[in-house]
Amino acid sequence: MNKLFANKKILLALRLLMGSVFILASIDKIFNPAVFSSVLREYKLLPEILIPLVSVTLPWMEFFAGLLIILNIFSQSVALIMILFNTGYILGITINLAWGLAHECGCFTLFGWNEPISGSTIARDLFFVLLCVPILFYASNEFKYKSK
Amino acid sequence: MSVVICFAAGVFGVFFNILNPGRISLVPENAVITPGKMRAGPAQKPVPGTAQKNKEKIKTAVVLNPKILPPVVKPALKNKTEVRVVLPLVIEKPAATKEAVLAVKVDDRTVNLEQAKLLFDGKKAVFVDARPEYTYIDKHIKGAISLSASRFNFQYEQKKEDLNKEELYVVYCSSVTCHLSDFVADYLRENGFKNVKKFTAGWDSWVAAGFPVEGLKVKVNGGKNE
Repeated sequence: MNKLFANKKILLALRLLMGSVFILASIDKIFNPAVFSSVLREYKLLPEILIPLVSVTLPWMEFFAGLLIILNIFSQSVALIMILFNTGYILGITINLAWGLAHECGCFTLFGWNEPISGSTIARDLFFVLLCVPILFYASNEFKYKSK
Repeated sequence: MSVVICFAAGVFGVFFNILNPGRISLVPENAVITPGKMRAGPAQKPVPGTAQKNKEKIKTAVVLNPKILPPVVKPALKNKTEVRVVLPLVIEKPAATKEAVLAVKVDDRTVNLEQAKLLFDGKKAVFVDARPEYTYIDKHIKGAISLSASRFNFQYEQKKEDLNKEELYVVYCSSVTCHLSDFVADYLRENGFKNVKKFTAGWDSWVAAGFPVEGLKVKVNGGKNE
């Protein structure tokens, strides 16, 4: 199993997949922070004063995380960021579902795609966490462009 | 390194926001109170000697507009040292006859529940639901169209042929704390719609008042919606 996940091609595929996911998730939020801030507000988890700051910084964190992991720069650190982000999203969605709130996920809004928070969004984020684990343990954490 | 990457990306995000045409203010709107934007806010301790004046104002406001204004005085009002008052901010706009109410809103950018119902009954406005599309599909104001804030461009392209820019559009979302209707109203104005108003109290107040709704999850019982 260790050999399988340490395989360069598998790691490359995982990095490309997770990088693309994070970049695609960030693009629309980057250009429409106002709408993203409304979605964040609907989660009712962050204090009002933090919402504008989070809505302009979080999408860029996602974007750079995606970019860096595709370029294989500090991949392990980026994988850790992705795991933490996805864990946060899972917690947020779970809490909101437990409260009975139904609102937009704010996950992927590119190309007009829109989805509510649900069990499937939690399952998807959990899947992304699992995809990041091999990168966290076996990828490179160096500043270099080429795959290990 | 993770912290450094996040911090650098965050700083980049803040700078990008300055250049972004769709930028937002990093100071929350309700942190800066301007007379035009004031709503019933957190409880405040009154200045000594103003308690009686406030009580009178509140009484007047409740009498003028009993439906809209929530209970504004807490039971502790009798104890002068513990007075906590939430001043309603529509007290300067007394409710009047139906005609007067409709006349008042002409130059205003918002409508309240009563005005919205009058416009609905008179079929004088197109109601626009700014909430997410799936929420609209479940339940919405009867006859409303969906133009959600997050999918506005996409939905607008599909519907623009059917929309008359000269008509009155009333945009609503969930409640007074929801700002999706602000975005949609602005988007509509940017697209040349001259007469766009925001139904501030929104969906929650409409449902609470028992006004007509429709949608997949609306059960109709003897002509009344549930």
